[in-house]
Amino acid sequence: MSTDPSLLSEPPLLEVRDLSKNFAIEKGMLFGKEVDTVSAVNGVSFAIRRGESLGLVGESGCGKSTTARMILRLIDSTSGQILFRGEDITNSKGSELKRIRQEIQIVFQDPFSTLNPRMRVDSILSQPFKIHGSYERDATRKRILDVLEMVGLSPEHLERFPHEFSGGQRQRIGIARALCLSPSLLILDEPVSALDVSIQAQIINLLRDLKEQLDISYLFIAHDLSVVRHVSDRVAVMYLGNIVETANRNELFQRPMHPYSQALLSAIPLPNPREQRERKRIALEGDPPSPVNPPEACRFNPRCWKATEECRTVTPFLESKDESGENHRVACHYAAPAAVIPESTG
Amino acid sequence: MEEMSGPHHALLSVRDLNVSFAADRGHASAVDGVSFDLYENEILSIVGESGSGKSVTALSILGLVDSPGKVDAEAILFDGQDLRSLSERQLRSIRGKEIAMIFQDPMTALNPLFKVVSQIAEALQTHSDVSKSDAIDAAIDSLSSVGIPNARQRVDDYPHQFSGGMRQRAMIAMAMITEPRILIADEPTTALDVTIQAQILDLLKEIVDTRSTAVLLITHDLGVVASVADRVMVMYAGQIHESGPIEELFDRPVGPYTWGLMDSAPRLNADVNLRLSQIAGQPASIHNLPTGCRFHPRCPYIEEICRSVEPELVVLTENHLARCHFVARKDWRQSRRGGS
Repeated sequence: MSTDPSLLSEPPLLEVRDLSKNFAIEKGMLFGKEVDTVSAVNGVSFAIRRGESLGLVGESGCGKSTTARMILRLIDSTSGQILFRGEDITNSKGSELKRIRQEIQIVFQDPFSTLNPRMRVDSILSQPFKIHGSYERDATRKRILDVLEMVGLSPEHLERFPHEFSGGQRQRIGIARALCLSPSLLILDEPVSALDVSIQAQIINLLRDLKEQLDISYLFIAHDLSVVRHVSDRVAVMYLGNIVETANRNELFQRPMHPYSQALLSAIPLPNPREQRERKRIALEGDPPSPVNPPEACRFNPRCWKATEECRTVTPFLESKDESGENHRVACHYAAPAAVIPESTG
Repeated sequence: MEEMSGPHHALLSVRDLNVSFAADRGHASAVDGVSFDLYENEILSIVGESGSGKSVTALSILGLVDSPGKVDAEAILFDGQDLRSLSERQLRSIRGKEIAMIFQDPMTALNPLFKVVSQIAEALQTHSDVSKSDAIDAAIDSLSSVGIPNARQRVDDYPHQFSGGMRQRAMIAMAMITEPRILIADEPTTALDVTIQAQILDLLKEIVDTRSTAVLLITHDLGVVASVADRVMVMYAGQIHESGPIEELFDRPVGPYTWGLMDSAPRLNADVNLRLSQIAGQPASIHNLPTGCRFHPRCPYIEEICRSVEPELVVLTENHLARCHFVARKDWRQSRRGGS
């Protein structure tokens, strides 16, 4: 990825520093007594520059959606800092928070449950303006028509209700709603996982086009690495609350260094029987452990084939392994690149 | 109807299966003229998008399509016996015993109020005359055989104490405890993480290799098909669009919808700078099927005949069938796809 030099002088659009979230597990109905904590996110740091797209990947329970909810300030963080354009928004409230939320919008996974079934598309798309006090009939109408065109829908769709649309079209409406207020950061939380394959491709292409047209930044959250690959400039891999590896897109896919990233990439089936039969697979045993009592030191150590005593006692932190300006950082005592994706044979 | 001939005896033969549902305006046809055979020791995959009829096809084999659904077929033969001629009681002795099924979401398929082991044991007791304690022992063995560590210590565990991957293993243990000859797996890994999906797919392969069970695997994921299936049937709008052995189908696909499906799947090793190719438009609705070829409104190779005449399923080679007016043309694939 080439970075515009002028961007280096300005602070990143979003920066997250050492962000953590613990959820308390309570026992007792009325006067809950805290009996345990779930360490959902554990000291996560990353930055997203203007116009850049960061893919945040990991399996269920790794903390990727909790991270997104903290950035949107839908839940409070336990510790750490969230900076937006260099301004600390970790504890923002009231009108300040509202101002920031115009700039950070979200698109959710399930296009069926995120659109009010009793509202016409017209009203759904007017809501952001009404909530943020910028509703003016003619200007809003014009903006809505522009946004509709951007996402590939037409004006006649405004009069319809959500149930009249297919899944892919509903996701387009969800994206249109997020774009209405011209945000500078879009959080996309599994935006294509609920869609059929042929429709997935349409939405992925749309997201790529929009990013180019609008100079907007994405935090793209997904479990499917082959999807993330098409929409991200950089990728961060999470495991049990930690970022274990991050690098520019091609670097991460071609030279993954963390054993977990390697296992994750090798588990994704390729739609080609010959490639699939001949490839070397790293089989992980068991399930990810519970974040209630996560393993000591390296949280991946119980499932890792490289683990030694050091991994059970000394916590690895993200360290630069950058050899060619690819922003490659890995949290592993035994980080070493390995090619796990075979070259395409056809 | 087209036969899929094979070297050995078909465990399941479905001929001209039609399933329709009474709808506001007439009948909605969910499955239309589907025929296939399933052999011992093989994994046959049905792949398609939502609404393609892949799940309804599986449910109709088990007699699980409820009113207002109407199942009509020339034959649904299990081991030579026509399942449609059986009474509900006779069918029940086959369903769950000879033909077992697992579903996408193991959490909703297990009863949260009962212990996992008891639920597995119950599946055995329903179909054979065994004592409760023998059934519990068999359930523990079955859990061990699908890779649950220390199954004996989990005898008092409830479903919520199992992880997602373990629950799907428990469902497989429950399905396999009666030693069925056919296992129908409907999107068995769709709700699971990829590293767990890989484990479950390995387990399905192991079952077919070691127990001579046949698996009918329903999925939307071509990666899953390429990993485990022996043969594949691509369905679109209730019909078979193309079918064949997987090497043949992935190396020399001829159906325009198969091409679209293969090209639109994001691949880890494809050129990421290229746009994904997409299939235009929306999947066909069974309430409002297009005339002529059901895929014609989305097909980039449409000609006049496609709008008015419904194509037949054409036999290309012994096992390779495809539904398109042009597949019999000599240069069809080369001229549209290039390559060999």
